[in-house]
Amino acid sequence: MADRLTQLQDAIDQLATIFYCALRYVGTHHDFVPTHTEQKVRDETLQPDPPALFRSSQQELARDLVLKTKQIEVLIASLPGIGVSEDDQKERLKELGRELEKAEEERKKSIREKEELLVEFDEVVRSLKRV
Amino acid sequence: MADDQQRNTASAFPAPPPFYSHFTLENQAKLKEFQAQEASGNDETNVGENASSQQQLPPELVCLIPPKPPTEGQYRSFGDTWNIPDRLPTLKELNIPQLFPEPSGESYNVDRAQELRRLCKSLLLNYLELVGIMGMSPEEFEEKVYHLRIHLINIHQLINEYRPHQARETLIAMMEEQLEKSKQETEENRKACAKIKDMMAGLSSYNANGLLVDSDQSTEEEKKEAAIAKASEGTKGDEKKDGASWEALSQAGLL
Repeated sequence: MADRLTQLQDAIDQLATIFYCALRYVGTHHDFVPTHTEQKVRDETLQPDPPALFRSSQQELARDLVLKTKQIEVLIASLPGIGVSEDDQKERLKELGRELEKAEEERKKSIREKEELLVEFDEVVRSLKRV
Repeated sequence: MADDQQRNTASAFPAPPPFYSHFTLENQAKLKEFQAQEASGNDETNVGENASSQQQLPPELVCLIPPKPPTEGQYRSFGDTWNIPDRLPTLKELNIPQLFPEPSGESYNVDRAQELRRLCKSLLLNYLELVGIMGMSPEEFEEKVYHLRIHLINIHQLINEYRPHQARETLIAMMEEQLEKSKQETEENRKACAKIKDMMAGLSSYNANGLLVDSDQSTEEEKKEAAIAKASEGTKGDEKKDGASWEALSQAGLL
C-alpha cells in the first residue's frame, strides 16, 4: 500500500479527473431546450441522453465529487505525525537511538548468559550420565 | 559539435559520447602505468602538481579519468534539469503564486493539515464557480481554469514539502518496532535462563542427597532427565544421552 501522502496526491488527481469528467459529460450529453417559439436546436455531434438518465448521471457525478472530497479530508486528518514539530521528531529519534543501543547491549548480554548456561547445563547432564 | 552534443543529450536514446572508443584495454593499462609512475615520481604531491601532471597525459587517456562530480549549479539527466543539492524548488522559483503562508524559521510551523483542508475547500469552490461560468459565459473559462491549476499545484507542493516529515515519522515507527523486538528477545532469553537455573538447582539438590552415588539411582535421575526431555527411556549410548540433553534444552525453549 502506498503511503498516506501518495494516497492523498492520487486522491487529489482523481478529484481533478472527476472535475473534468463531470463537465465533459454535461457538455456532451445535454439536451437542448427551445426558448419561446423558436425551433429546438440540433447538434449532430451531441447525443443527448434521455432526461431521466441525464439526471441520474449528473447525480452520480456529483456524488463521486463529494465522496472524493470526503476521502481527501479523511486522508488529511490521518496524515502521520500531524501536530508534531520537526524538533520533536529529531529529539524522539535521538532518544530512540539511545534506547535501541541499550536494548541491543542487553540483548547481547542475555544471549551470552544463555550460552554460558547452556554449556554449564550440558556439563551437568554429562556428569549425571557418567556416574 | 556543440549542436551535436545538444541533440545527443536531448534524445530519448542518446548515442554514447564520442570518447567511448578510448576505453580500450591497452589504454587502461597505459593509464595504470602512468598513475604508478606518477605516484612513485612524487610522493608529496599537492593538488596543483597533480593537476599539472594530468595535463601531461596523452589526450586519449584524459577521458579515462572520471571528472569530479559537480558540487553546485545544475545538471541535466534524462531531459530534466536537476539542482545541486537536490531539493524541492519553491513555488516562487516556478513563478506560481503561493496560496499558503510561508514557514518562518527552521522548523516547519505552518499547520499543514489545516492549510490542505483550506485549499481543498477552495478548490471545490473554484470548480463550482467554473461550472457556473460555463453555464453563463463559457468563453471566460480561462481565468477559473488557471485558478484551479494554481490550487492543484499548491496542494501538491504542500504535500511534497510534507514528505521529509513523513519519512522521519516512518523512521520513528520502525525504530520503535525494533526496540520492542529487541526487548522481547531479551525477555525471552532471561526466562529461558531462569528455567535452566531452576532445573539445575533441582538436579544439584538430588546430588546433595547422595542420590547420584550408585548406578541404580543414576538411572532414576536419568528417568527424570528423560521425562523432561520427553525422550524415550533406555538410551544408554553416550551420543544418545547427549541428544537427550539437547532435547531437554530445546524443550526449555532454548534452542
